[in-house]
Amino acid sequence: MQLTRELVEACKRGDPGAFDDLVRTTYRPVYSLVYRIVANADDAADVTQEVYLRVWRSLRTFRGDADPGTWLYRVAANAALTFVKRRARAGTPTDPAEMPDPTVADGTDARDDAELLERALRQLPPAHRAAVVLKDVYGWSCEEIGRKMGSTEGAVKVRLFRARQRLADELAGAGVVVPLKKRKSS
Amino acid sequence: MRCAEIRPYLPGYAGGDLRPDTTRIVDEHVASCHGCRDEVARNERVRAGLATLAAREVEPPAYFLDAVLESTPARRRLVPILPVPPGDLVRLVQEHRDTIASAAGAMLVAAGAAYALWRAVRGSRRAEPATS
Repeated sequence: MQLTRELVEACKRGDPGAFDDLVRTTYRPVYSLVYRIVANADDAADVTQEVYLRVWRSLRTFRGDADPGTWLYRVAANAALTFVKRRARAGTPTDPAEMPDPTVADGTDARDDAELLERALRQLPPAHRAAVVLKDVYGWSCEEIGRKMGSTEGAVKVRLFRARQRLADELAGAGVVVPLKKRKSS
Repeated sequence: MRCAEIRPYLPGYAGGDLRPDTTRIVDEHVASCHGCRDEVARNERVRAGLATLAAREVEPPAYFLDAVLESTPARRRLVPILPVPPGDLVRLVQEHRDTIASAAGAMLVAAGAAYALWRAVRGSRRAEPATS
């Protein structure tokens, strides 16, 4: 994500057009993160709008010691997790069958691993999906995920391992052949 | 250990998320088990694939950017309620204070006269005898 401290500072000063620039620069990766967690295009659009409202409100508290991109991703992930938790409490799970199938920005429809994984992610239970997306796609720690999700680190690992296993099964089911290789013993 | 006992740990093993003592146990099993080695390879491939997703962008709906921009507080403008800026309005009132006071007085007198007329008309209607 190409979000610079200068742009964030310009937003804090209220420079004309600076916040628009921030949105234009970041909306695709932010939407992508949110979509991967909420797994529905319309919900992702709503949550991403909420993300930028949160960013606007918290601009003053951004001290600049954190990477702006990381900060924005955290705001986005928090908003997405809040949405998932709220939906879980309301008992209205998203039906994967009704989910639109967005294209990837590079315009390809290649049935590669990444494409298959994107599809398989959408079939996971929300809490499992959030754990695996934040850990394996965006590099969060299990401890931090647990803190944000209101779970223990152990509970996050259980969800993470089950999610990975299911994704591996999905890839195998899709006919992706994995060449055997000898693992280095550590 | 048997494969059934080891398998739940393989996704964590592939991701390096197990404790060192657990990792050693899985290491020993995987070294001698073709099937679990295959499972580890599948999980490693999943992790490698997931790691590439962050660089891929999901295409938002076409309306999306405009909707976000329009919803941001930076774009919102207060709709002016007054036809003139508040400062100009204060200046106008100060400059034409006498005229405004005269107009207000005249309106008050007119309202009073209208009310008195309305009372008189209503009273005369009540006083008329009922016709059969």
